[in-house]
Amino acid sequence: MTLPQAIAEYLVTLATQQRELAYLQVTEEGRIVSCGGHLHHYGLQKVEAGEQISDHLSYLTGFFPHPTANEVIHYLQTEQGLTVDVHLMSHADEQWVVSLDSGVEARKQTEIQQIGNELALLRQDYAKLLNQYQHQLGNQYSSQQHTGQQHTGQQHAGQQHSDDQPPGNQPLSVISGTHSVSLLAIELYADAECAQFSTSSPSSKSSPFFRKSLPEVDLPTTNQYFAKISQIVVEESGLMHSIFGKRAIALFGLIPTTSHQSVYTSIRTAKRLLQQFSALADPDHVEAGHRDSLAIGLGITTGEVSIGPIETSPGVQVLNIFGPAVLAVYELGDVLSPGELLVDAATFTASDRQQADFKRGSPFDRSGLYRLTPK
Amino acid sequence: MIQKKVCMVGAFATGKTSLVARFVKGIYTDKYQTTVGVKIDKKQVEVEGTEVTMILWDIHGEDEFQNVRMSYLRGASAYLLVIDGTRRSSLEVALNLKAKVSESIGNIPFIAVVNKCDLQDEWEIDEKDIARLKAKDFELIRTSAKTDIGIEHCFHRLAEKIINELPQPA
Repeated sequence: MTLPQAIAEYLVTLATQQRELAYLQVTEEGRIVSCGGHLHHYGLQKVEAGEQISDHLSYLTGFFPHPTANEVIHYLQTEQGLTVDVHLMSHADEQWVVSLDSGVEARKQTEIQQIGNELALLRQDYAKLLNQYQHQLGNQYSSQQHTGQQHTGQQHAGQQHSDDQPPGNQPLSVISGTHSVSLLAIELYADAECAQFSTSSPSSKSSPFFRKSLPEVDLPTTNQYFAKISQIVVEESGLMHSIFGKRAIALFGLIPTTSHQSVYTSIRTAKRLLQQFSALADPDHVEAGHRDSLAIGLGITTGEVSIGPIETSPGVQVLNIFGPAVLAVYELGDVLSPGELLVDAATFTASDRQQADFKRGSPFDRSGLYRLTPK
Repeated sequence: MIQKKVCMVGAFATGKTSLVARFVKGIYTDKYQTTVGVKIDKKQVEVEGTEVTMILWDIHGEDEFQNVRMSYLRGASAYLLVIDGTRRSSLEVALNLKAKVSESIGNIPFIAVVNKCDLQDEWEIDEKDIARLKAKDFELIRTSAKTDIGIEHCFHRLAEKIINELPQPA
């Protein structure tokens, strides 16, 4: 292929200027014949004909004699910290080593690969965790079945019935270690008063949504909200743990994410939810006739929890989660107001760079809690 | 003094870069940082009165994005086959890579390193696996880049193997 002059010149400029092209011609044994280009960029100022190339580029130790096929070593990071694409090429009887700086591409590639590999590791951790649960559950199953069989022969006829039940009908629970998680309470509030409550006293708390109208009217609206909320929680790698009435609880830290900190993802999700639903708490929005608008209040607690699967029937397992953070998130849900995000002290401490977004206490003197301050 | 190329080979996140960092610079970081391409380092060791400069090729791990290119091992005198004790999958990758290396550049000296022995409680590699490797005549060394266990030993053993492979003077 013959390239137009303009393109050929452009490519040469690209290689020589932007990618710091340098070249060395070598013999079959790797002795330098000639050199040129941006040698100083690679620390090759004092190269002389007849020297071994590996004396200057130690990474080429053992590479010569090199077969005739051309070869590229991509993203070779030198001891000096340069990242280079090293092209080993043959042309007629000549052998060439051509260096092109590939630092920019390597940085981009590293970013992508870092995320991919972290996710792969998290997936493996997650699979390992599930296997452990399964294994422990299996052990407990065997143990209970064994105990049941032993008892059968010794018990009265009246007790026989319970032992004859299939194992799946006997609730099983296994506590499997502790995990650091963040729990997000999401509370929905009725429309008209919402905008005022975030700034008024706690005694004038929003009237529960369900008190205002019939369930068959409320439910579709509530479900629409929770469908959207669930979608956002899942997008942020959270787990929607429960939806009960006008409250939902989401869990962060169990599903693999690129961030190891459940606190970051829970706060990010909460901010996203607030942003998504802030328009609905706007008085103008309500005055415009959107009487079915709900507002949202959010609370996050963080801490170690125990997790154990309960087998409720054969093949059906439910994860139960227990710990102070679980109790705290329910309490937090009770003191929330529309349009606010409250976090407990553990979440605040772990939120690191995001601490500046929060303020201790609140106008309602809820000690030990931190409130997201509007920007 | 002799200069020899030594490669680090294994699945991703097995701790190849950490082993080199501990050996060459005496440092360790808990943060996982993926390797793209290959990182070059150098360290001199003395074996039976002979100075050996090891040119270390810390080759990117085998992962979903990239397979280890065997041409990177051209000219290598030996290699460390790194396995993460906490991930059984890394053992299968290592065995696969070992076969590829032998096919591409022949049977050069190597040592299988089972890394992360500071996390022994979390190991998925068990004694059966270890016995399986030993049955294949693998020389095995348990290491921890974090707590600096077995690092000097494995590189030193590799240098010994390199020296032993050198042609004897007539």
